[in-house]
Amino acid sequence: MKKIMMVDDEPDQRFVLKTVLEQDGKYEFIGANSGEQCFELLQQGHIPDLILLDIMMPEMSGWTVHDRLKKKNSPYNNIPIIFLTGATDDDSKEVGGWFGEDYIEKPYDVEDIKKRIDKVLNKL
Amino acid sequence: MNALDQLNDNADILQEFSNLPDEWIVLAETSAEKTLGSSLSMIKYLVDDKGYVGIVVSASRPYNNLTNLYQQKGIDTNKILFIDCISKSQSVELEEAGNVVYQDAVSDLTNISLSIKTAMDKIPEKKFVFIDSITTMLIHNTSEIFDRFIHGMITKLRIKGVSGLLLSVEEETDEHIRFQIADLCDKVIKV
Repeated sequence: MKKIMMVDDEPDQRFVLKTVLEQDGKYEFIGANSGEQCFELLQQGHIPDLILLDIMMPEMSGWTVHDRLKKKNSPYNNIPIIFLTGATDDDSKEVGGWFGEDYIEKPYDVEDIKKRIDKVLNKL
Repeated sequence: MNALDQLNDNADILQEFSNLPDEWIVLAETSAEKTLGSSLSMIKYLVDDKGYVGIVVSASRPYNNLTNLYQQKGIDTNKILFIDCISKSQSVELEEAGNVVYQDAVSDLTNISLSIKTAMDKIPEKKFVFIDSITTMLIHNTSEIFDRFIHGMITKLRIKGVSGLLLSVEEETDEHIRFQIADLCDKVIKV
């Protein structure tokens, strides 16, 4: 079973995606409410096959989480990332597209997000 | 001869630039001992002689050191915005100034990208982005993530009509990446 970690400070976003992803029995969902918790979970051994990463979060932004995950000496730098965001500015979309495997704007369609997760995981 | 004294011996560098169109992407390859002298020559020519505004992304030297060097050579630092990727990670005292943006680390490529894009949008004049240097950035980043950065950035420069100068220390940059980047540039010059 593939493990998907969602890093998002909004509990309702995590709840919806957990429900959607786990209903098919294909995925195990790991929720993190912040960048800090993301790293705590990783250090505890919860290593996902894919990270869904919100950009606009307090304290540590999704950009910073991405950059730390992808550092040269990071043990997590091979985990693919899909950016999720409510930000509508062109710069965020563009940079998210450069660095992420995909970039998905909120609100998203749940069937669409499942397809995009599958697409990324099937590339691996 | 020290690096600063080399400045006046680089007439051939200037010749290379004089043949370029208004908007260009250049990979400048240099040796480790000539890196500083060559970059000062190029910046001085572009800013003082050609009237460009520079966006200097420094992964090699902190802002206060770079501005001192530039000023010693008479480069107008008011026409340069520095994106300093070194000072914070090296705990260098951060000098408050209107022409510097500090990044946490050379590995913060998304934040560096956003700063470059913001700078490009805010500066209305003819401008260039100087990446100093590819070699140093590759020390801190995987080739995969750096490849994403450089492809995205060069595409953006072309769309926006902004020139780009990428500095590489010849003997220290991975050959495969060097070829990939050279393919994206209009010209490769040896300085």
